[in-house]
Parts: sequence; C-alpha cells; structure tokens
Amino acid sequence: MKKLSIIGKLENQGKMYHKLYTILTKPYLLLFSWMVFFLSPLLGPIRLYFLQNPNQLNLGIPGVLSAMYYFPFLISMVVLVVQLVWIREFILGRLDSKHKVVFILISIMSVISIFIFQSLINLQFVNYPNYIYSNYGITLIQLQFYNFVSTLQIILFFTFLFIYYSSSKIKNSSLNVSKFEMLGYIIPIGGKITLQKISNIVSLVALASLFTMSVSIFFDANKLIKSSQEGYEGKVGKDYKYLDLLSRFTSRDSNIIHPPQGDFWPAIGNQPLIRYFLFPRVLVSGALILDDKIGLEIQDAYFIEIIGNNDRPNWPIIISDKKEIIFDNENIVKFEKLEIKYKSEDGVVYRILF
Amino acid sequence: MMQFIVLLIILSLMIVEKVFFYSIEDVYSKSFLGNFELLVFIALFVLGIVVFTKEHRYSKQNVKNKSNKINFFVVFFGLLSILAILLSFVLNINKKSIHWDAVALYDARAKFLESDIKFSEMPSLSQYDNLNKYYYLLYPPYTSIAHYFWNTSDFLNNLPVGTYYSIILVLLLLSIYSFSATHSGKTIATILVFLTASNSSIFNIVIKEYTNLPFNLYLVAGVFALFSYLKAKSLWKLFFGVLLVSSSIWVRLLEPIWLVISLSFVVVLISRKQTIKKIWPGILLLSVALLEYASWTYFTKIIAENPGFLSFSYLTLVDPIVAMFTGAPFVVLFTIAKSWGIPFFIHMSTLVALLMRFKEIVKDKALLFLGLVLFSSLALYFAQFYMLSFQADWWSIVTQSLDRSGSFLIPISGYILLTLLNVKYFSK
Repeated sequence: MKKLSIIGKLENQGKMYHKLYTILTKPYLLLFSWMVFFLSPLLGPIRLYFLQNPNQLNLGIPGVLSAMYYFPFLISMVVLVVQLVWIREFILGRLDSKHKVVFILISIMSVISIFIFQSLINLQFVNYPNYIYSNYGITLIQLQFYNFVSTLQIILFFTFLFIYYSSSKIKNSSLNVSKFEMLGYIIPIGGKITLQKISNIVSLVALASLFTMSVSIFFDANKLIKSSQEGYEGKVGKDYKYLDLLSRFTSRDSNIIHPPQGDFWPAIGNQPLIRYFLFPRVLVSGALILDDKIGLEIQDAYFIEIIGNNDRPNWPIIISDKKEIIFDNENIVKFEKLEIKYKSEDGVVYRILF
Repeated sequence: MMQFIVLLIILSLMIVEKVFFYSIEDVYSKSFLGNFELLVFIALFVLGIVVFTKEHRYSKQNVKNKSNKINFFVVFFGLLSILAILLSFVLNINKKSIHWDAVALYDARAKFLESDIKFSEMPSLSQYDNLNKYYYLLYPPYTSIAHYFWNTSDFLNNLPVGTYYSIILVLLLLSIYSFSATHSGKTIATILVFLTASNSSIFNIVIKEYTNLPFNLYLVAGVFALFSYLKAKSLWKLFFGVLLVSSSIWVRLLEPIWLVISLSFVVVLISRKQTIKKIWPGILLLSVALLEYASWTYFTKIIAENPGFLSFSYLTLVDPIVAMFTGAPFVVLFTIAKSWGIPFFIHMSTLVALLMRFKEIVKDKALLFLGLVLFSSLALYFAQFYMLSFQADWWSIVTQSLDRSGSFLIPISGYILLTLLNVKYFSK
C-alpha cells in the first residue's frame, strides 16, 4: 500500500514537471517574459519617486520597494531558464515556426534594449558618478546586468544559427549524419555524456566569453572617442602647465633642473617623460644636486617653481637672502645669481647661475 | 597567395628597419654578430621567396576548384570586423600619442633619431638622471624606427602616428584570415577575425602607441605560419614562420615568448618519433631566434653597457623553491587570475577543453603545437611572476600589464576553440 502511494506521488511529480515544462515551451511565455524584462527598468524611476516622496506610497506593506529593486533580476533569471528549455527543444527538433518568430523578435528587442541601457551607462560616464541612479533610479549594476542578459540572448541566438547552419551544411555534404546527431555531438543533452561533449561545453562557454569581450568596444565607442580626445594634461596631470611654460620661455640649448623623481612629483620628476616635451634641452634631476659639483659643471640653468599643497612640499626651497637653494629636499647648495625669467599666475620660471 | 603577400609585407617592414638600424649604428655594423644576423635574416627571406615561387608554380597545376560561397556569417562578422577597423582608424586619426611609454620612450626615441642621435648615444641623454640611465635601451628599436619613418615621411606625417597601429591591425587580421581560411574555411576565419578585431584587450593596444600590437603581429603571424607548415609541409611557411617568431625579439624583449614557441615547435617535431635529421626545422627556429636575441642583447650590454635590471644568482633560486611548499604559487596564480580577468578564464578553459580531447589532439600535430604554445606561454608568465615576486615588491602591479602583453594569445585561443567546435575539422 505504502509502495503504491510512493509511485502515485512520483507520478504526480512527473505530471507536474511535464505540465510546467509544457508551459515553459509555449512561444508566448518567452515573448511575454521578455516584454516584462524589457519594461522592468521602468520600475527604477517609479521606485525612486516613492523613495523621494514616501507619503505617496501609503500601502503599509514592508519590502515593496526592495521587491521593485530585485524584480528585474528575478525576471532575468526566468527569461534565462525559459531560454535553456528552448535549447533542449531546439536540439530535439521540436521548435516550430512560431518559436522561431519569437526568437527573432526577442533578439531584435535585445539589440534595442542594449542600445538604451548602454546610452544610460554613457550618460553616467559623461556626467558624474551616480548620475543615472539619482535621475532614473537605476543602478549601474542593474544596467550592466540587463546588458549581460541581452548580450547572452543574442549570443545564444547566433550560436543556434551557427550550429543550425553548420550542421545542415554537413548534412548536405558527403557526411551521412543527421542534423540533430550533429547537435548532439556539440551539446551533451540527450545521449551519453562523454569527455568530448564536456570539452565542447567548456569551449562554448569560453567562446561566449570571447564574444562578450568583442561586443564591449561597440558599446564603449562613445567613451573611447571621448578619452581619445584627452590632451597631455589628462596623462601628465596638472604639472603639464609647468612643462609648457619651460618649453616656451627657455631656449632650446638651455639646462633645465627638475624635481627628484618620486611620490611627490611622479610626472614632472620623471626625466624621460619630460624630455619628450623639453628636448633638446639638457635635463638635470634635482636629486643629483647634493653639493656644488654639478652646479659648477653646468654653471647656468633654468627651473620652474612648483607650488606645494597638502600632498607635497614647495620645490625648490629658495633661501634668497643667503643665496642658497635646496633641489633634493635635503642638501643646501650655494648659487651666484637668481633671476626671474617669466612670471604669471601659472608659475615662475627662474634662471640660476652657479 | 594571400598568405605569402601578407607575410612578405610584414617581413619587408622588419628588413627595412633592420637595415636602417644597421646603417646608423657603426659599431654594430662592424661587429661579426651584426653582420651575421642581417645576412642570415636576408638569406632566409630570399630563400622563402624562391621556395614559394617554385611551390606556387607546382601547386597551380594541381589547383582544385574550392567553393567560394559567401554565407550570412561571413557577411555579418565581416561587416562587424570592418566596423571595428574603421572605429580604430577614426580614433587613431583624431588623437595624439599621450600614453606614458608611448610618449616617454617609443615616440621620444623617434624624436631623437630625427635629431641624428643614434640608439647607442641615447643613454648619454640621461647623464644627469639618477634613476633612468638605460631607459632608452630597455626596449628593442622596432617601434621607434617605425615612428621615425612615419614622422619623416612627407606623405604620412600629416596623419598622427597612431594611424600606423590601425594599419598593423589590418595586417594582423589579414594574416589570421589567410591562414585560418585555408585550414578551417571562410566562416571560421571571419568569426576569428571579428573576435580578434573587436576584442577589448586587442583594441586597447590598437589605440595605444605601444610595442604590444606589432609584437602580436609578428608572433601570431609566425605561429600561424608554423601551424600551416605542420599541416601542409610548405617550406616557405617554415622559413617565414622562423623569421616572424624570431624577429619579434626586435619588438619586445622582456617576455621570451619566442623561446616557448620554439620549444613547443621542437616538442611537436620530436613527438613525431622521427630521427634527429627530421627535427632540423625546430633547430633552425631555435638557432635563428637565439641569434636575434644575442644580436640585440650584445648591442645593449657591450656597446651601450646596459647592465639589465634584475640580478640573478643561484641563491635567488633558494627562496622560490622553498616557498613552493608554503602556498606561494597559489598566491601568484590568484593574483594573475584577478589582474588578467576574462582573458585568463578563456585561456584556461581552452586548455581544459583541449586536455579533455587529448587523444584526438595528439594525433593532430598542428593543433597540438597551438595548444603547447598556449600552455607554455601561460606557464612562462606564471614562472616569470613567481620568480619576480621574490625579487621585487611591485610584481603584483606589473601583473596588470598581462592584459596587454598576453593579448597575442586571444587569436590562438579563439582558433583552438572554433576548431574544437568545428565538426568538419575532425571529420576529415
């Protein structure tokens, strides 16, 4: 009696599974769930409105706002599960023309949604961090997740097309293998699981990752174009203005003393970097001016005063009344004469005679 | 024919640069090594052309009518690839070199060449620099000579030098297409071209005036030429492949990828259980690569007195060996995986997928060669960072450059993955 009840339970479970499976394979379910997924970002602005105006949402149900936040993630997972079921149906050759139409429709919707989501991401890049959340109530992670799901859908669609195409081509060629036997070769659903099939799945996952890497440059085009228009200030930093002044107000055959290379002056202290802008002037690192030796060797040189801030001290330290100067942050060096060659709000270019 | 023309252009670029270097560096051109290196390079280049002409004449008589069908995938991915190439041109034409090494090293050396300062004289510019005495000789001359040619050409210098990198991308894609189309068909070739052209790691180096993209060009074209040689035993591919892999040393020196490619090639040849006489292609590759390596290091160490930047003694080996038992390798591996990100996952997955079909792969020597190149390159990066982690505390920061320096593996992994999924390839 007990045995019979277990079988009955199993049968019931089997029936439920089949029922659920049948529902999942309905073409309209994928279309509907994808529509919900596509429209779910609209919950963001609604949620933001109620967050900003708490009195308007007097439902008294705790967690509604959190549910609105997590719903898009949930619907994305549903969409993915439905698609996985469809893969199986596709392999078994049970997808009819309605399914194919739905596949094409959601692929078009994916492309549109990727463009919308990417534009929103670019808006944040163009404006300021947290721009999209403070204006539309959508977080960057949500947008990236939407993009991921949409991209994955397109990749799946193209993978199917590719497999379908290559398998039908093989079928038409001299090889006498059916289309679905070929699909069975690539994807381990139906039939014995072999190392070869697992290898194919690993290859498919890696290939999908390669495709994902390839998709990003098209969506980041705006960002790339904007960053390519960056000037030297963007890379060298605010000290670039000092290099500009030195190149404008010193002759090409002069000697230039620059700050020591290190944490305080990573760019303007880096001699190879600044040589690009000051060549053919002879560059002398302040770190080497420990005594009178180098001063007597070069005799005549220029430097620009770098105003310090909370992160770094002034450079160099000039003790005018004693005719002394410190270039390496430590050692005092005597000089003969110090004159201002150029002075403006941007900086002061000095000529020093040792 | 397409393969030959593309490789001929790539190698001609290298020869022109080598001859220029030879002509300006008197001491180098008077040394035995300098003369021998250039002689061997040109001899192999000419030999390759002669062999190709003979083989081409013969193959013309036996040519079969291959189908020239263009399908949806070829058009779709072909258009996307063209879009990526156009985007790179748009970006490169509208920008100047601004990245640190591009400015401070590659473009700066071109500027010095324009002022008649030779490579051997460049260290003297750092006479009053306490930290960067040999900076200008850290990298071989290829990129800077290319920048010099570009900047001094009346025809080209109206465009920023970045445009040169878009042209290098086109050459890289043409070489990938020509070889993969021959062995795997147009569809796979076009998909691989798309995966390379628009790959974010590759695209990142297309829009930076660094050595990475030209390095990729010589390595990838060389690896595919040797792969094709293993497939079809065409001697000109061997000669050109040897020249491409070995001359990558004149673009970048710090990663001895030429060594792992040469060793992978030798291993594949030995695995054929052939006599020592039959592994001469491997010996040829190793010898020419060693000659190229010796010629540049001879120049930097003897002529320009470059002492190198890392010390080595048997004592330096003690720490790494002991630390093997304390979990240090896992720390290094984890750091590499974290810094490299998705490409590391792709390469490791490719290795796993290959390993699962090892019995099949081992029968296909050409594919085995690609797998060995991938495996040994990853092993080399790991070994380099493992050793470096005991000598410099900045090693983990350098792992961030793996995305750029390891980008030559993208088309190799891509080709292996597409081949593993290509039913037709294994049904032959």
